[in-house]
Amino acid sequence: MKSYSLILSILLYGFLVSSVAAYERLKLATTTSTANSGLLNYLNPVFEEKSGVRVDAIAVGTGKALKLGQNGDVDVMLVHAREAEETFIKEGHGVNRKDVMYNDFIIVGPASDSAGINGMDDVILALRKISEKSSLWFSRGDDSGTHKKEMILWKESAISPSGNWYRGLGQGMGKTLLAADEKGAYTLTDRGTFIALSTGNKIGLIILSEGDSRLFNPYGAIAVNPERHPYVKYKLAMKYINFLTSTEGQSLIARFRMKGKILFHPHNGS
Amino acid sequence: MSRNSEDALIELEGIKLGFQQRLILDVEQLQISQGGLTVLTGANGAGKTSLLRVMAGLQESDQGKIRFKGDTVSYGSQGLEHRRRVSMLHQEPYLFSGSVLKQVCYGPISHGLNQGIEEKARQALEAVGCLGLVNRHTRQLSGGEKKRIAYACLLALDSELLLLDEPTAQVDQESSEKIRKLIQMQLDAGKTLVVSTHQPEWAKPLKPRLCMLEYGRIVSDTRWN
Amino acid sequence: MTFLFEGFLEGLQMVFQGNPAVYNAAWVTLKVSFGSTLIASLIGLPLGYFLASSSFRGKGFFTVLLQTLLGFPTVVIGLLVYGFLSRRGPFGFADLLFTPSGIVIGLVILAFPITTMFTMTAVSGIDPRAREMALTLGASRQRTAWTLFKEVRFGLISALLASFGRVASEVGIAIMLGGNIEGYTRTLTTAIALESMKGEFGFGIALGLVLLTLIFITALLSRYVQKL
Repeated sequence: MKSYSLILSILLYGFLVSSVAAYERLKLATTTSTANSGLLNYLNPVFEEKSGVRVDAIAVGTGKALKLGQNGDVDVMLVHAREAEETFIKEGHGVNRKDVMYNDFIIVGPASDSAGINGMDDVILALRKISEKSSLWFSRGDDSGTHKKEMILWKESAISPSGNWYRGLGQGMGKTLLAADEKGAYTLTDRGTFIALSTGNKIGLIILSEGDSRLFNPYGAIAVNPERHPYVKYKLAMKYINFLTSTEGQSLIARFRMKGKILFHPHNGS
Repeated sequence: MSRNSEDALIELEGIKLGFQQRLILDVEQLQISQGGLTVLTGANGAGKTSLLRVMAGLQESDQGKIRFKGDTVSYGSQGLEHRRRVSMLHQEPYLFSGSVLKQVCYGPISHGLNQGIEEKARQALEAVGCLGLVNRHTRQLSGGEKKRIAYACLLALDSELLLLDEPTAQVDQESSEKIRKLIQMQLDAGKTLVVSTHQPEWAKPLKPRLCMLEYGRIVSDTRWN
Repeated sequence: MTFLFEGFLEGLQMVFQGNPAVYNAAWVTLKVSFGSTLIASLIGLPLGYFLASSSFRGKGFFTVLLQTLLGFPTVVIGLLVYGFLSRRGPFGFADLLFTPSGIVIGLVILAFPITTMFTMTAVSGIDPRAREMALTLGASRQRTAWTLFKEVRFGLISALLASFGRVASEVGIAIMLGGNIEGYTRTLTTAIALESMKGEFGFGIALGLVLLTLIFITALLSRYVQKL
């Protein structure tokens, strides 16, 4: 008898504690690049302080993030896939898309650089060379913003990548970089995640191609359409978007450093 | 209530019980009156234990009816009342893990008593000569001790009918005489007992009624004097 | 080897310096694991007792169904529950997706077959004479059930433990229904998944150590409880 009441009371206690909820919560679907770089942990507390709202960041690929918004499972999105975002708005799933910030994509690979693309600023030529040499290429393969970008670039190169040298991993950016490092493969990455991993000496990959205007990577914030999903916290979502694009939000983004390096540039910055 | 059974404590009528397509109990009629000892005897598998279990309300028969003091006995969730009037001592009784005292108190607590339980239990333990084991864990008992403790469990209750299944099996001479004395004590107190045994001679001094079972049927029903 | 060793060292450091992210994740894990184990026991103990002590048509089928659930991949459970909890699903109105309660719902589905099957095995293993002893001493059906539960408390405690261990170490459900929100729905396992993705080996080790310790403490506690 004693033993059972002990277990039961412990369990009950745990359960009661777990059901306590206090704050109003805003659900933000975003990409791994903003969450894992630490940007959100830097920005959101400022917003939370001002508004008294907790931001629940759910870090997934851009494709999944947009899907969550389409289902009405989140209130606001911070993503990077301009074309997909525009379709999203056009189909009426979201409203009030605002540019927040940008960074760029880069092509990284092993220092040995078997395809010989080091220093090429034309990304299309670099990709063609990789496919000609059949150098190992790891693709995210997860419908993320980076993956969408990669597919656009292959399309522009008039290559439909396939064969032994081309592998879709179905993993996030971090995992893909770690895998590429292990196997000596090339990959397309956002600069933020790459810096996060390479400055921590987690990987030995180096930047081989950068600076092409096609590698521009803009991030946008979108509120879920309240007419589609009446229960979404549209007002809070707009509050958050306005915060990101406000002078304060923009200058916060401009001052954000990871391990001493700039990861994101504010949209309204110089 | 049937007319010719007004003095019967328990009355069985047309009891049939099958097990795997075999009839293990087939009792047309059995009446046991208030007070006194009935001994069930017969070979292994003659149906002694099954008959006791049916009477105890632990096993529902496939056919037939049992009346206890005129009330039809029911089983399952409806059987609680009957089970509180009749208790059974198993041949190899199971004791719950815990102290002997707790075990003997179990019955009175189950019956809803809330006073003098421990006293009752101690008296019952004294009667079976096991008062010294009161704080022992039931796991630390010998087979014979277990049997006596289980008997004490029955003594701690005021059941109107006591059913004992082979109380003297695997028990030494001394203990079996002790058990006979206990039964005599209960008979003197006006209790009704049904006891199954392989050795009916053991019960002879108690001058019981003797029912012989064969393949589930009562083949003889005599009184020993 | 140095890589492994350094990661381990870093992990130990984080644990002993009280890294808040590690302890936050541990706290969330505790909450959802306790909650789901409690609910799974409230379902599994009576259901397991019922299945063990009664016979009815379709009992075999029901048991097979439970065994199938026992082997259900957690991502499938996560996906199914996601479908129900999503705003587009039938329970979308309750706003449970990406909350600890959402995780608990998924974990209960994972855990109740465990508590049920363990209870069923324990109760069917009881000596049938134990039941008859309780009944003949005049115990009601409820008191009989309680007595039998006490007789097999070791089996039942292992049911709770197995269930707790399973839900505490599970990833798929927690990540799909919780969304891995830091400080809110990020559990030890989803944090490990994230940190390994970021290449933070030491951090992952730290989280793993806490998880191991948690399960170790549960085992110790159960031993203590069994001695009462």
